[in-house]
Amino acid sequence: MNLVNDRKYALGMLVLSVVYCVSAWSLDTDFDPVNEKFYPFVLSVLMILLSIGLFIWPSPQSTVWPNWKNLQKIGLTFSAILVYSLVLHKIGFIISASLLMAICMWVFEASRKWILPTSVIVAIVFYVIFDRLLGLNLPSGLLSFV
Amino acid sequence: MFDQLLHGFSIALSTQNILLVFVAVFLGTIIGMLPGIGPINAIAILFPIVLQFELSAPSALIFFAGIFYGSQYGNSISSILLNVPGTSSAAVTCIDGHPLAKQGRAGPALAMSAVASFSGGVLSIFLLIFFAPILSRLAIDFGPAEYFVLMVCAFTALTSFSHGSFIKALFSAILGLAIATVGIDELSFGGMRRFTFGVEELGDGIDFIVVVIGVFAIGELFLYLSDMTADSVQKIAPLNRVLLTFRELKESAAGILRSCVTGFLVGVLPGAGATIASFLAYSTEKKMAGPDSKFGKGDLRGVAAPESANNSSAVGSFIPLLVLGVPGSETTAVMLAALITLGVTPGPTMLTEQPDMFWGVAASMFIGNLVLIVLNLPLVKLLAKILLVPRWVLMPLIAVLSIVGVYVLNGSEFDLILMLVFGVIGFIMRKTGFPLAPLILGLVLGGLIEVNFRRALTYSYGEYSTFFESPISIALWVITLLSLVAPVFFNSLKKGRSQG
Repeated sequence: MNLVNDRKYALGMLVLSVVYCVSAWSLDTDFDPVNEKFYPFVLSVLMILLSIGLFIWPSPQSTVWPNWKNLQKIGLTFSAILVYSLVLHKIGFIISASLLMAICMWVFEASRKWILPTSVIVAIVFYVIFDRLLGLNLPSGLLSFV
Repeated sequence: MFDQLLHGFSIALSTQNILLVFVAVFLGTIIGMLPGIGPINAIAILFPIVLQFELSAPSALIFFAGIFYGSQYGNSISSILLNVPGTSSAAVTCIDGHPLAKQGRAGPALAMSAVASFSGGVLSIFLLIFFAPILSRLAIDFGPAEYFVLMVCAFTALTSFSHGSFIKALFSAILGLAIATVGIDELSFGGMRRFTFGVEELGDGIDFIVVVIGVFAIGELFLYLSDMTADSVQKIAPLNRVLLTFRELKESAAGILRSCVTGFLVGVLPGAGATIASFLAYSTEKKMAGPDSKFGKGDLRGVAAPESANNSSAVGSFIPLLVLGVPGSETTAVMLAALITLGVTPGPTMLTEQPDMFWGVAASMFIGNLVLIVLNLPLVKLLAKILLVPRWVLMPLIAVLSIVGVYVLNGSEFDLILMLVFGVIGFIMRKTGFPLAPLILGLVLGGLIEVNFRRALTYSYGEYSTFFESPISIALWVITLLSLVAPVFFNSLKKGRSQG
């Protein structure tokens, strides 16, 4: 039984709540129940009270955080999606989605020979389904001549 | 009521809606079957496509509902064959389903699951069309004050019935409400920007789809990676003839009926949902069977009970959504958010003012369940082949589907980054024991709660007594208090029993 965990989380909650509280308070309007300031302020007060509550009455629970290898995998997936988001408009859907799919497959320990063909096929199939058949615009980017 | 149901069928039987039901329950079965994608992810990812097709609100709901109850059929397939539940509501089905498969009786187990799902599903539609109109008569006199109190009541019930720490659940709910306040305030004159921290893109607020896909799909991805071990190879049990004997059916019939009623009632309660329903039904049947039964070692009745219960609870969860306009679970919350985007004003008058939606959906559920029993009995062998898709294709596919779903919503790169941020938030919340359902409910209802709160106070010139004036409000406050006290009471009862 580890009671310290919840106390740490309670401090995190408190920081979040105070930030929300301060930015609610600094809204430039009257403090009137029908205005846009009062309601978020009430929410933030409740959040602060709950954070203090969790600190006083932590629940017995233990958190198993990922080991270093798995943490690296999560970091790699996170970065892959981040890079995808940043370059999507420039290089287009097919190339960036193939890359993302390939990195994810590698992270999920797919065998090497499958990664390249699968990720290219998936990206093209998605492009055809969403862009051409369903008419939802996906950026074509570098391949805009197709 | 009969006329209205006929009218419902006239809606559900239009070519477009029949097609939608077919596609929805088929997708639902597959989504339910594959561990890692729940109905909530599917609905969120498919929502931009529904927008693109400009479906009417009833058609969209027919489609989403089909995915939801369809997934309650499919989720037992992987429970039985792989010992991995497709969605959490089929976790109990593993207890007896997988031992049966190991004994070479996967066929009867799957057949029983399909029959129980069908019976639970269809019987609960009758309960739905019987009780919904009765309840809706209570809900005519709702003003902003009553609606506000109703939502407070739904929140308290949701948080106190959810698993784990009450403080964390409540914090999660209020965090959802707080996220909903980001963006331009529509009530104030001129539209004040709140909590955008100078980020231009946050002016329009945070789209619920971005949060749902982030927290659930991306969060799930991180969660899977964090617990990944080298030996995650799955073995699928061999599948023989999918048939049941008359005796096996007769033995389970009473349990299916009981579980259907339990499941429905649990489904109506906010916060409880299909997972709790299936657990409750299973433990009841186990107790009734007595200590000599084969429960836990492979009893067909142990497959029948949870499958009947989780299907009827999915149908029951449409009562708070369609009658009161307040969802009680994360999946129905996403459906409500989708309906709001499609221009439906949610509230206790939905059933009377938009009868097409309720009766159309109810009628379509009959059709959907018929399609599902065909999919899950004669075709189940074919469907089970989908389980052979390895994890290293499935999980990356979910990642790519998620980013496509979020991108096509607004065509914005900023939404993708926001989704990623919520993916991390969802992952941390799961790891640290904060439930996600209250967060989603808070996000979806946040706008409505604030509007009704401020409107009620505007009408009453700032008098708080407006929230305690009508008999409906008072009754709702009493229910709120009871739902706060109930878990404490049950817990002490449980403790007393285990000590005694």
